[in-house]
Amino acid sequence: MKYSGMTARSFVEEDVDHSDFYTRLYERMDEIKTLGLHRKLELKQIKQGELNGLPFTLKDSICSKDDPTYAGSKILEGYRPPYDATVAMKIKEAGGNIFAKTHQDEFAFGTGSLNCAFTTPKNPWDEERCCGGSSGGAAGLAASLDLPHINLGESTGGSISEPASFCGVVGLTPTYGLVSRHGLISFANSLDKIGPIARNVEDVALGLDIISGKDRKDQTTVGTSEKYTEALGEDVSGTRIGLPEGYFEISDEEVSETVLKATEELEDLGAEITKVKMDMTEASLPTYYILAPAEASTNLARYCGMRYGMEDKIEGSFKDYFSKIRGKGFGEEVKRRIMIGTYTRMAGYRDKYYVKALKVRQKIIDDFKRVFKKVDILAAPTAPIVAPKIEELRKMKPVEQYKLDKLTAPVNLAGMPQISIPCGFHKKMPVGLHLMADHFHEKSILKLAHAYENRRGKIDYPGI
Amino acid sequence: MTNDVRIGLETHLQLMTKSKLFCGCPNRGVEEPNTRTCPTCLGMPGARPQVNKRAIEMGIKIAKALGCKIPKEMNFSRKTYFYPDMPKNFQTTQFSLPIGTNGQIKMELGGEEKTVRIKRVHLEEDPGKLKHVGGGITSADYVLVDYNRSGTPLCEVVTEPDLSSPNEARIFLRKLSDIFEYLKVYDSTGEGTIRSDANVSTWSERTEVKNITGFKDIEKALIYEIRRQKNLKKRGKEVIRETRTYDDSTGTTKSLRTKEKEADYGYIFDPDLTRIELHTDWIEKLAKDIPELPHEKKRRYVEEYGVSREVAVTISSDFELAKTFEKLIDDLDVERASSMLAGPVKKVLNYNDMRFKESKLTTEKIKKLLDMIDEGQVTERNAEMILRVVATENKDPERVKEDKGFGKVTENKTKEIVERVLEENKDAAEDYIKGKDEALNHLVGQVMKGSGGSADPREARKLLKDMIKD
Amino acid sequence: MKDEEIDRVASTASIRLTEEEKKLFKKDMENILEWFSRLDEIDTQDTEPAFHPIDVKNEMREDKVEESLDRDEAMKNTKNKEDGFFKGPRIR
Ligand SMILES: [Mg+2]
Ligand SMILES: [Zn+2]
Repeated sequence: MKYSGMTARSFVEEDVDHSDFYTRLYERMDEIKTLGLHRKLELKQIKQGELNGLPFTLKDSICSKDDPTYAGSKILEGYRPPYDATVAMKIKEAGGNIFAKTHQDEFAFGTGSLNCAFTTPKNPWDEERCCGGSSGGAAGLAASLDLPHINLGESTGGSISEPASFCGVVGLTPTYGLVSRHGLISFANSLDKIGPIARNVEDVALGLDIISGKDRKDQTTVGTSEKYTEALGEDVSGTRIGLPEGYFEISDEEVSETVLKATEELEDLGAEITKVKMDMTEASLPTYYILAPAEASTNLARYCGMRYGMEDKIEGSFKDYFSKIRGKGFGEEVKRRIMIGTYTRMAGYRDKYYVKALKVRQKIIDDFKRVFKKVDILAAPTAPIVAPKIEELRKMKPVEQYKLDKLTAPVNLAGMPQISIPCGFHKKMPVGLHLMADHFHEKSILKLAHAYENRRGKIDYPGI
Repeated sequence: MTNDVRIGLETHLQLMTKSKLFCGCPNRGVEEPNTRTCPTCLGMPGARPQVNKRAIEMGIKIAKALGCKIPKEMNFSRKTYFYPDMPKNFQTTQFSLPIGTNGQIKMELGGEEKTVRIKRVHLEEDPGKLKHVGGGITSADYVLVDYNRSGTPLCEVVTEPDLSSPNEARIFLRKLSDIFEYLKVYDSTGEGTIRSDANVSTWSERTEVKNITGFKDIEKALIYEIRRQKNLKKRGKEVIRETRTYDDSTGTTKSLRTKEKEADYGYIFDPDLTRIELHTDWIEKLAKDIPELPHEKKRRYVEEYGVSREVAVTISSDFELAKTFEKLIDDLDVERASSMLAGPVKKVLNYNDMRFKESKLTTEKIKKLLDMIDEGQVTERNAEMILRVVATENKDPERVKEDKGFGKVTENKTKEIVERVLEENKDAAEDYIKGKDEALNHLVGQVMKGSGGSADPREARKLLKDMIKD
Repeated sequence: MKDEEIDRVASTASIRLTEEEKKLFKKDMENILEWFSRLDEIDTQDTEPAFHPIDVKNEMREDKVEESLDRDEAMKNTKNKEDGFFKGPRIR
């Protein structure tokens, strides 16, 4: 059996026993270990079932029972959850195998996966460059592992799209609430979304088929499970595509041009392209950086050296003990965001920052809703630049780093689905085309991305 | 002495749902530590809350019964503060949109009705339970935590500072607990099911006393705290604004932290839970389930049955006792039933520190006892002795009468005693003949003594008169 | 932003910071807060806060008992335990 370059979908559909395949998979994993993308899990028994034993990876913040799950943080080192996240359960029940956890920024706070407590994942296209963040390991693994598999990432403000773009793979961020967050170690609960990352559109659609659906354990989930794979291959002519003002202007010229060229190809496929004006783009990033840390700082309160995670000999008052563990266990960026998030919800500042941002968020959602009355899909660059060098990124000030989220934060605040698909190169690094749609219109973006992918043709991934 | 005392209470009552507020762990059951826990109530990373519909419905009923304004929409918030009994280091509670605001409770105070204003009613989760090892709360070496209680639904009732004495505070708590029991959302019989924080001010600055469990401690804690504040003033010292804790082992309050060290809870909306619209038809449907409440019953007993106010309060404050009353008067005189329940029955319950439902008493047992008195089988006094037994033991009144020999002495037996008493007290008999009426009372007393209380005094008196004449 | 303010935030968040961290975060936070105040210009007078990006409401669970964790499972991630209790630091 030739597995190299095989898609996940064909792997599932081949009427073959794939259990030998895992030996190959693990050998291959050892070869790409140097990139620091993942932590290998031991499989006690290889499941088959409906998915025919398809391999999956989970971002380090997604719990799977008894498997090390650290969310990229020292404060959770050694933690083995006593339960499965709903997505992990769904994979197992469908006959998939979770074979690795992928590295990420600590608690998903970052745009380059440089804030990981355990390693710095390196971009398979250029090892001096970062993978993007925070699902950097997942995107990097999708680009470097040429064997059929699906990676689950998570996005709060762009953490699926951005690394997918930097690593030249496909990343789908579903509508908020379409995929259960039960068992996802929270960053910001009103923003977090789990989504698939793979080398092609078919595979992310397959991933979504498996993980989506209402879950009684996550009361913010909605809707029913659909077959997203069935939407692929349909005609896309007549699709109204909007190019949002502002998104291209702030991007590197070459990046903008590459993306514009891709939209011309969409036009060739029968889509209608117009320019659209968005009113709330500028306000999105500060809104995001108020709301996400505010929620995050409450989620992170539980890590205090009791019950699980980093601990010490119990001594002194709880105030001293908790402060000591938290000071030691959290990395710099996590502390910074806890400080910001604590400040903006304190009495006296709460209305000025937190409540204000909640209201601006509503205006951002309204802005998208208004635009999606005129167009079906918005197309833009995923990120304003290609993957930066790790050293360059390290030198950037926090606010400069935060600005890498500029093009993804708005749509993430609106909780609307988005897909990043590679559409060309600049500085020999992949550029991502970002397609965004209204709530629950996953099928439209998948369909369009699939049509584009067919027209674009194969990508030669770097051999590691 | 207490006219410048102002007390406001924040009282938490545990709601009797089957499962916890945000997870499916049993709300009550085995008390082996940490056996009723799951990722959600242990605050494990990634676990989500799933709010219990019945708890919200209980909250609506409570808000309605307390005459609160119920908002169109409610939600839950995160109140962030660090404490070893809090698995997430935030408590999921209600902040800007609580389930009820602006209600009131009317309570009976020395024959008068007093209204205590309710500021708000909200739902929240209980933290775990701490055991302080090697000392008290402020002096232990470390703590041991049992999270079985973590996630138990609580209803917090916050009053305005309308209470003016420790005694009033105790009466208020009782009243609050009565109402909750009437609504069948609460069971006052368990340990630690009602806990209060009290805001106390005797002059200007107020202190908050936390951790007061139950009905008796509220009075003790407040008496101590008021005395402490008054003593400070007497010595010319200022009462500082601070949070104190009640230590039930010493009956004192101790400083926990001063105002400057007060936590900033940094409330945010809990984004793992959805907002909940409280539709009018939902509220109305639940309101239909609200039974006649204690103060309504009290009023009806007075107006409809002519029962005295005091007796009406006594009977209506215990739901099962009131139920028994209403059953008894189907075929009994109101006066007969009410004096039995507000008198001997209530006395026995008080003696055992019990609610009617905790006792072994039933309407049938009481009915039977009343019949036994009417049939002349037992005296009122012995009926009370029988009550004491049947209140705590699963026994039939008739059997207890036989077993313990509480039956009324027969006429012949009484006659024998009368004869013996007259034989032994010839002087007294002479005195009576001479016209000294008190002498007869003395003789009756002797007969009662001789019968061990089983004789009927009226009968003894009649016999004595008859036999002296002879 | 005053030094005391950084101390107060750190204390509220129960995080012990080194002096360097305090200095660093003070500078960063001043920058970031200034950036945040751009939102002041946006008129939100007639806007309701968005709790979620989608309209989810009235999600509730029936009052049913479900299985709890086995105690050993619940406590397997810590060494700080004693007689079936979790062990934690004292209050003062
Ligand atoms: Mg409370
Ligand atoms: Zn639980």
